[in-house]
This record gives sequence, C-alpha cells and structure tokens, in this order.
Amino acid sequence: MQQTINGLASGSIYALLGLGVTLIWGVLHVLTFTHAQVLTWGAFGSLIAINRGYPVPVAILVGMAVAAGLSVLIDSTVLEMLRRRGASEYAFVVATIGLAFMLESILRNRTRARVEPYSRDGFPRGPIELLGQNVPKLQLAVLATSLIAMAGLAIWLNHTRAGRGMKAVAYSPETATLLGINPRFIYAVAYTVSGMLAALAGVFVAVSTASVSYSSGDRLLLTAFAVIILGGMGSVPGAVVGGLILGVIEVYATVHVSSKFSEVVAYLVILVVLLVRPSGLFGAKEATRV
Amino acid sequence: MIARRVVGALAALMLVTTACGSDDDSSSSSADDENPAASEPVEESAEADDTASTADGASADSDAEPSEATVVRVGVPLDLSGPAAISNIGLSELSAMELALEEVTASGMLGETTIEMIPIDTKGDKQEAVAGVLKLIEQDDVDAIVGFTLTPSFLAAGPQAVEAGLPVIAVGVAAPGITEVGDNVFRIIPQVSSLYAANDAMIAETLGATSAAYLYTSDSETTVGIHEARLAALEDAGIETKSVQSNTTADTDFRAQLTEIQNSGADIMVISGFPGQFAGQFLQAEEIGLDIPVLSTDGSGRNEVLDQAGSAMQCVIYTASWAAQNETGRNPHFVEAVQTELDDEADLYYAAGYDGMWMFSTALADAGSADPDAIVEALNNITDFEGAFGVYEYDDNREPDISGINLQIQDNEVIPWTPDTQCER
Repeated sequence: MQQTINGLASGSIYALLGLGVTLIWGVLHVLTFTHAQVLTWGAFGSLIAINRGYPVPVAILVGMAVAAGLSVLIDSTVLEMLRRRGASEYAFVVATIGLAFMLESILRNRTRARVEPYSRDGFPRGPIELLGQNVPKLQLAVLATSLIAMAGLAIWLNHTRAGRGMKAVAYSPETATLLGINPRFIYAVAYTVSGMLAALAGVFVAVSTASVSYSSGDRLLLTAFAVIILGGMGSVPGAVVGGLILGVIEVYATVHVSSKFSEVVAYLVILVVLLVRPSGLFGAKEATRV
Repeated sequence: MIARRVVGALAALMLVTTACGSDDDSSSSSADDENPAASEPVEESAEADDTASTADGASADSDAEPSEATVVRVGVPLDLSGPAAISNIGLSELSAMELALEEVTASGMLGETTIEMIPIDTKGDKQEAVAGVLKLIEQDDVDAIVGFTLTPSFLAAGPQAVEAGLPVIAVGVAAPGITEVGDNVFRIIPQVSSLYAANDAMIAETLGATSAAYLYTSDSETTVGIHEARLAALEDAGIETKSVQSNTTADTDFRAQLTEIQNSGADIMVISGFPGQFAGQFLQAEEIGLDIPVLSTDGSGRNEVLDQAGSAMQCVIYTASWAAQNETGRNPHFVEAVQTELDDEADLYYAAGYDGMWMFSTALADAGSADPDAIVEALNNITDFEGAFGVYEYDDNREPDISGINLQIQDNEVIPWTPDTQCER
C-alpha cells in the first residue's frame, strides 16, 4: 500500500505536468518542449520568495506567477510570430526546443550550475500512520494539492465562460472568433494555466529533494509526453489518469525490476500505447478536447 | 496522425540535440583560433624534444627547472555541464585546478615555463569525452591530460591519451582499474572502494549491526564498484544482506527504494552515491520514518548537502579520502585558499582538482621538460608529495598511498569518528 501511495504521489506530479502540456496541445496543437524549463523557472521563482522570507503559500504563488509570465512571454513573442507566418507544427516544435535550450543556458549561467538548497521550512515533514503504514505527510500534501488543482481545472474548463471559450477555440479558432471570443486571449490563458501547473509541479519536485538546479525539470519532459500519450493527447481526464498510472508503474518497476528501467518503462508505455491504441486511453471518441 | 506528429517531434529533438553537439565542437575549434600555437604542433614537438634532452642532464636534481621558456599545454577534460549533480563536481575540480595553477605560477617553481590549461566539457557523456580528448590530442596538441570527472568518461577516453603516449592524471575518478589502462596513467583520488571495504566492517560491528540494506547509484562505474566492494566486505564480515536497491543519477524520488529498505528490517543502510542526491535521499528517508544508522559515501559532508538535508543527516557516518580536518601536507593552506579565493568551503572535488594540477606541476619541474616519458618518470619518482590529501606518493601501480579518515555528521558539522564517538539522533 505504501508503494502505491508513493506511486500516486509521483503520479500526481506527472499529472500536473501532463495537464499543462495537454492543455497547450488541445488549444494550440503545439507540442511544447519548453514545459520542463517553465517548471524549473517556476521552482526558482518560489525559491527566491522563500529565501526572502515569504510564507510557503505566497512563495508557491510567486513561483506560479513567474512560470505563468514566462509561458505567456514565450507565446506572445516567438509562438505568436510563427502563428502569424502560418508556420507548420514542426516549426513550433523546433522553436520550443530552441527556447528550452536557451532558458536552460540562462539558468545554468545565472546559478553557476550550482544545486541550490530549497528550504523545507513551512512544508509538512515526517510521516503519519495510515492503515498501519508510515506515509510521508509531504506526499499526502502533494497528492491532495494536485488533486484539488486538477479538480479546479476541470470545474473551470466546464463551468466558466473562459473555460468554455477555451473549448471553443480548441474546436475552431475561426468559429470562436465569430462567437466573439478572442483566440489570442485564450492562448494567453492556456499558457498561464499551463505555466501555473508546471510551477506547482516544480515546487513539489524541489521540496521533495530539498534542492533545485537548472536541470531539475530535464527528466520530466519525457514523462510529461508519456503521460499525455498514455491518457490521450488533448484529454484532461486522460492526463490525470495517465499521470497517476505512470507514477504507480514507475514505482513498481523500480522496486520489482530496477530503477535503471523506470525510464525504460516510460518509453515502453509510449510504444505500447502507440501500437495498440494510438489515440491513448481517453483518446478519439472518448476524449474531451479542451 | 497524432503518433506521426509525436514521433516527428521527438526526431526533431534528437536532431537539435545533435546540432547542439556540433555547435560545441565549433566553439571548441574557435578556441584554437585564439591560440596560434595550436597550429604549430611540429615545431612545438621539436622544442619539447630539445627540452627533454636538456632535462636528462638535470634529472639528478629533483628541483630542476625546465631550462627553456616554453608553454606546456595541459588538456583538462571535465564534466562541466549535463546533470547538475555531476557538473557541480566538474566545475569544482576546474576551479581548484585554476587556483593551483595560479599558486604554481606565483611560486616560480617552473622558471620560464608556463602551463596553459585547455578545459573541455565532456558533459557527463562518454562519446563527448572521447571526442574531447581526441580534439585535445590532435588539434590542441597538448603535452599532458589532467582531468576526468567520471570513471565511464575516463574508461572511454583515457585509452586515447594512453595511446598518444601522454602523461595522464585522473583527478575525479574513484573506481578500481583506472591505472591499469596504461603505464602513463596516475590518479589523485584513491580507489575508494578499498577504503570503504577496509572501514565499513569495523563501523558496522561497532554499531552492533548484523544485517544491512544497500542503496547505490547504478549508472556510474564508480558507485557500482564502491557498492560491490562494500557489500562483499560486509558479507565477509558476517553482515547479512537484507535488501539491495539502486537509483540512477537522474533520479529525484527515492521513496520506493527507501520503503523497500525500511520493510527489509535491516540494521544499517549503506549508501553509495553522489553528493547531488544525498539530500533528497536522507530527507525522503526521514519522511517515511526510516530511522537506522547510515554508512554513506565521501561527499556527504559537503556544505550544500548539509544545508539541504539539515537534521536528516544527523549521525551519518562515512569514510573520506579527503577531509578538512586533515592537517598534514598542503591541506591547511588549501582549505584556507578555497575559502578566500573561491569563496567556498573546500571539499573532496576541489582537493582532487587542486592536487591534480600541483602534482603535474611538480612532476614537470622535476622532469625539467614537457617530454611525456620524463614527466611519467618524474611522477613515478615523486616522494612525500605535499598536497590537499596530505603527504603521499605513488606505489608501483601508480596508485596514491592515501589512507582514509572516518567522519560523522553531528549537528550539521563534520567531526572525526572513532568507535568511542557518541551521537544522538
């Protein structure tokens, strides 16, 4: 049971990441490679706030604001230029890959490639006994916060004007424009929400290891792609379920096979899903595109 | 359709990654443009030969200086980027080598000769290491190699330098078998696996342990070698193995492995890993309530590790090949110099880089030339070298005869550990 909780906690972080990527894919049809860097920049934003003595909730909000701002900046500059020029999907991919390298280089130089300590003061510490098992309070907090964020996102998408506007733009920007919806505003909103989710994941990764570095998010990019392919690209419930399943699979692969193969598991998941069900678990007819 | 898009995107990522590698090669080449000497390898070789013959006459005097004004080029392959846990080590080694070179230059021990360091980023990647060392040999025409952060990089690229006949001083690698690569290969950090094997059993018995669980980093030759040596030594001492778990250098979540160790009921946990991951490992062990004595690895007492892990590392014991508490050799000066010149606390990796450059410079001064054979002979003949690791010299297998020191973390401070040392968690 404890290992399942370990897996669900990791999986909830993966789900937060996958949600951000799937949101961008669903609305803009862009597979964004900057997401891991947005996560890292968000984590650094919260670190600066923590080091300046702000309480943890405020620091998390600062991190989310940094990541959201960075995401919107990326969208409103480079990606907007590509959209105006009618660039192909591959141009967006290459552009975001280039931006990711650039963002990582900036952080690496600014931090002199150091691993920065990330204070755990203010975060839950130690274990709590649950059904006879020692469950880390921090993991429970991560799991609970992630689930609340995901539920909030689902409610926002389905029950608010902006959320419905996002769905309309995802379906057809031209039709949405005729309905009085500004697609550029919706794109900015999508990037804002995506960045905030990435930052939340970044904070959880940083506090989990009590450290943050320019490469903190590197490994997670592939995981985010695995999550959305497993769940179905563009599907919000797919990202949640995909993240949680992948987290649990990785933990059991680590324990019963070897941690050397936990990344292999992610690749295998991609391969198997692409071969057996190219649209993912919640893809095609079952998918709810945002 | 979606599958095609994703595969296309991933292919694009690989293409761009490859392109970035090419960029680095280009930038490395541009360094040659800034150094005209790089385009004149033949003349420089001739000069080295002349100098070597001069040195033969001077070799009887161990304090002989190279007799001609010349620039000796030292290739410095280190992991300066890649995962932060590794690049941090490479950057520390490079800073310390630069510090040592400043001191060597200021001392005047080389007379008119100057040493030019040519660093190259091996990026924690074997192929990068091979390409980098080949470039140092073929394009930069270096006289020696002093570097290497990771054992896999060394094992891949070291043979190229050996084949070229260059003296090689491996600074950061700690695995067995390094000097077996060639008769011109020396090392700074001793085979730590033998240090741990010699000390772990005694520490475990002092702690009253009858069983152990292991967590080791499985994608590094160094840590795998250390882990295997420790496991064998403890089993030989009658300590039962309850669980063996592994992680990779990219991992940040160790809870699954730690939970298995907790469930195994082992008396002690033995960790063989890298400093960049210690904080996460110890904090997550504390999170799940894993409260057994830990025998860790050198580097556990690094400042950033203690800053990150705090009380989660209370009472952790480890054996170190280098310690700030060692007051022999050049160590007291080194500790102070790192503090004043680099604005940091000295550690194993600074020490390795520092001694690597001092060791080479001493051999160069003794040899009196940059001739590879003369430098190798000088390295073999050095006695009572005073470095950050204390006073030591090379044995017949070109291994430094450095003895380890047992340390313990108490209240975020590193103190020497003996069987009488008490610690409250």
